[in-house]
Amino acid sequence: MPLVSPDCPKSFLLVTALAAVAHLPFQEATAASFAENPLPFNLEEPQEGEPEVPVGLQAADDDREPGLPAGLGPAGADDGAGVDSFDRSTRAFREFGGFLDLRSGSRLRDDPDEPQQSLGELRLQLNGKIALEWITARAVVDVVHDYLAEGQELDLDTSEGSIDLRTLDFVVSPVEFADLRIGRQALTWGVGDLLFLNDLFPKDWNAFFLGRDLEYLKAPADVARLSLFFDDVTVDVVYGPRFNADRFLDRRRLSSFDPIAGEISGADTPLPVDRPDRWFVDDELAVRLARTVGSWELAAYGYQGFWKSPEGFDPDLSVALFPRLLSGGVSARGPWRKGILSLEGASYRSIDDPGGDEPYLPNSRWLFLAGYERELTTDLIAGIQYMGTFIRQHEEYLQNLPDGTPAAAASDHLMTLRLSWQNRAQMLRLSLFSMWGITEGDGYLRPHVSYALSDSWRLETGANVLHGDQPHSRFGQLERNTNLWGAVRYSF
Amino acid sequence: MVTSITAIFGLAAVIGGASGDLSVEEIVKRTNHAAYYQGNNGRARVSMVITDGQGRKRERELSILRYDAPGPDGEQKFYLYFHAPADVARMTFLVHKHLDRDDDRWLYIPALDLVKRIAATDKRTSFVGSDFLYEDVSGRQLDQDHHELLKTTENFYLLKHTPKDPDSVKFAHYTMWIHKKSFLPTKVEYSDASGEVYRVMTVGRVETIDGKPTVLEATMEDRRTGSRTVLTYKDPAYDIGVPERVFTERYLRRAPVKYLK
Repeated sequence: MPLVSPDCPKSFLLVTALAAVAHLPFQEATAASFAENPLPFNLEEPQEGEPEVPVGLQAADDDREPGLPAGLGPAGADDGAGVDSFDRSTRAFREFGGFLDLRSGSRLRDDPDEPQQSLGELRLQLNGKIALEWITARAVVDVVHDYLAEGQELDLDTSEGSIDLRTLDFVVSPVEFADLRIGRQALTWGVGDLLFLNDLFPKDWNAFFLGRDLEYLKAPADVARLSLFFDDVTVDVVYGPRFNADRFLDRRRLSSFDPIAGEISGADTPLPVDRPDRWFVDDELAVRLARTVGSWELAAYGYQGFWKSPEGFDPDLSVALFPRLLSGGVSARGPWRKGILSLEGASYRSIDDPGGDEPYLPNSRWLFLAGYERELTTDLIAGIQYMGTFIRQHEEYLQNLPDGTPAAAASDHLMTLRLSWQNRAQMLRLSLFSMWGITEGDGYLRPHVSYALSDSWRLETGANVLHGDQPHSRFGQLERNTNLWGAVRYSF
Repeated sequence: MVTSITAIFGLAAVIGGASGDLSVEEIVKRTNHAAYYQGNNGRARVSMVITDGQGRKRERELSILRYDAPGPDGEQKFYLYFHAPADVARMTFLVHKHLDRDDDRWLYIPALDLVKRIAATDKRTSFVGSDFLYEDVSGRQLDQDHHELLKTTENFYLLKHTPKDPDSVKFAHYTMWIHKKSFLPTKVEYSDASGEVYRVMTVGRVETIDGKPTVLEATMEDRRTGSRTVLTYKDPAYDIGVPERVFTERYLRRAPVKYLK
């Protein structure tokens, strides 16, 4: 007991230890053990210095006066015994867990092109992480039984089949100021709330609109990410040797507009695509420079690769294409008037359509986002965003547009509003995310309720309500997929 | 002011500090130091058992790192790594605590690789769903209350704190029993306008770590809901050399195993 103060009677240490073991308030332990303590109270000679605290010390002169907690004895302390008894081996940097998730959803509108049931799956996720000082390795794998997609062959790029490999990566520091993370991983940057400008990492829009957990919005990418941490700036370089496409809306699970047929179609006519998939040729490079100034986070971004969903079309082969894309942008995020202000801008250059006159390729464009989120009252948070998209060569685009193809406006304006609330115990969470397409006159409502029955069991329900008068607009084309879903999840 | 919890870890104190007649301001200052600023940095593993009014139990387990800016008690940085429950395991949380403006807070969700900026500024919201409030854990600004020494007993100073802006909080005042030698608040009681005590924090166990009396167990009880949270600090350590750079986005994404371990 090296830290025992010289003026601390040993008997108090015993009392303290007893109280700690028995989880008794110190006062009671003191009374009990002083009566029954097998060791005479005066076994130890009183030390020089402070007088011994009399037994009656705790006799409170105010009935609300607390007793002394264990450890605040007369010398103010015991020796910290017990601290070392904490089992360091349980300091789990080997962590394993997962969940079992049963999820079902139904369309609320008639859709002649898709089944009534929109979602029906049982998913087992297993995850593990081993972190040592020099390396951290992670694996997350989902074993899925999708009742609506039985008999699919395994494809780890599209998550078809019964295995979805979400994460398999490791991170090391080749030099002190660098982290190198290699493998399959989710990646996110940028400051939008469900709006992505400079984040050109793959998304799973099917999962998003069908009602899977939000974590599935981010499709995994197979990349190497090198992060360099200098004094004033952080540099991230993400290289994907083979194009990581979105898990895009291909009409198999969600009906959408077919520009060739000029109408909405679904599972019977899935979108044929030609995906760039040559290793080290059809590659992607994403770069970010980030620095923090006070409470503000500033960043600049660059990307060279492909439009993440098949925005182009080859009329000769009748397949959708992922045209080449070069993008750059900036963002800022920080506190403003009791809330968080987010600003982001991006320039998309459609490399295969430099003049803007290719009718079947997406035009170059500017994108701007401004968002503001703040607490309205305790536990209620509101967030509002504006996003504007401006086509650069709209005249050329219009001049070359094939007859009968609906024209996109030169500028497109979108607003979002999020309200989220949780109860005090944070077991019940409600959120409503809504998007309003001002230019296209369409919209999207995404209500979500989550209730934790316990640390392990959680019930969830939500909906994806899509509407729009035009069959080709952003949300209007998805209108028939409006759905309601529910889930029960056991986490371990 | 310092209420409970030992800070998100921290509670330690100036030994032998109780001498003579201290002014209220001095007691408040020393208590704040004891509760939140011992050592220049530190680590602890925190367990919380939340028992609601119906007797249902929930548990939280997290590791915490703390860094104090050089100079007098002021700006601090906290890093939290969640171990349990399963649905939040491996999430990390970063706080830059400021005295002159709202704290900066970030949450990292590994499944999305998302660094989320927390917009909430109300410090009187529940800390991870427990009966402790964010403010209990990070500290209440000393200048938000009027402080009054009600009395001095053999072991304690009894202080009463009345908010300068009553509309900003739900309590009308709170009292704090401060252990005279360690300057640890061992019991804090929040009263409403009718004078009824509705929220109570009690310290159950203290140990001396590196010469600093440190709270290892504290309980917060909400008498209105019948809910209570027992918070236990395991394996606390001071001055373990956590550098400031740990409290950045880099380590949100990659846990600083060297210091957590």
